[in-house]
Amino acid sequence: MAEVSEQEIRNLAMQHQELQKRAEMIQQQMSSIQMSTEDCVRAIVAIDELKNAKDGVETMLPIGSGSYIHAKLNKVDKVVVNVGAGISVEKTMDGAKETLVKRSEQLGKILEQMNASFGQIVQNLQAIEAKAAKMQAPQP
Amino acid sequence: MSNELPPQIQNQLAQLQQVQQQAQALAAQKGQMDSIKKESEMALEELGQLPDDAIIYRAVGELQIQSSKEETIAKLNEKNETLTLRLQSISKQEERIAKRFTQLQEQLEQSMGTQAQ
Repeated sequence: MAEVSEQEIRNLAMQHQELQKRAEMIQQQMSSIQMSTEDCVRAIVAIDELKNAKDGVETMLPIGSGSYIHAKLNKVDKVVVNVGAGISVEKTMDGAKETLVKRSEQLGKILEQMNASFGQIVQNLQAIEAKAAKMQAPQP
Repeated sequence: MSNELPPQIQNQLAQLQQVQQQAQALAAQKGQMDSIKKESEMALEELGQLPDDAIIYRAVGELQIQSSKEETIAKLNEKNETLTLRLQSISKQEERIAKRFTQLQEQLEQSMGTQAQ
C-alpha cells in the first residue's frame, strides 16, 4: 500500500513539474504579447500626434544608446505598416491606425484566452498540491 | 533506481527517451513552421485587399525593398508551397517516430513483464 502511494506521489510530482513548465511558457508568451500590444499602442499614439503635422517637420532619429540625429519628416500623411512575413504596406494615416487598432484588439483577445488557460493550469497545480499534501499527511 | 534494472531494460528505456526527445523536437519544429505559414497566409490575405498599385515593401535582410503587389504575392505563395512541403515531410517523420515509440513501449512492457515473473 505504502509503495503504491509512493508511486502515486511520484506521478503527481511529474504532473506538477509538467504543468509548471507549461505555466512558465504561457507566462513568457503572455509577456511577449503584452509587449506587442504596448508597441501597437505607441504606434497609434504616434499616428495621432502626427496627424496634423506637415511635410518637413523637424524630428530626431534614434541611432541607439539614447542618441539621435536631426531629421525632417517626408510624406507625413503616409505610414508603412508591417503586415507580417517581412511584408510592409504603405497606408494612409487612418488606414494604418485602423490596422493597428484591429491588431491591438486581436492581441487583447489572445491575451484573454491565454490568461484563462493560465488560470486553469494554476487551478490544476493547486489541486495536485492539495492531493499530495493529503497523501503525505499522517493517517489517523 | 535504474541501477537495479537489467541492462536490456536500461537500454530500452534510453532508446524510448531518445525517441521521445526526437518527437518533442519535431513537434517544436512543426509548431514554428505552422506559425510562419499562418503569418504568410495572413499577409497574403492583407495583400489581397489592397489595390493593384499599392506601395509594398519586402524585407531583404535589413533593407525594405519596394515591390509590386503581383511580385510580393508570387513570392509569398512560393514560400507557402515550400512550407507546406516541409510540414508534410515533418508529419511523415512524426508518424514514423510515433510508430517507433509504440514499438519500443511494447518491447519495454514485455521485458518488464518477463522480469517481474
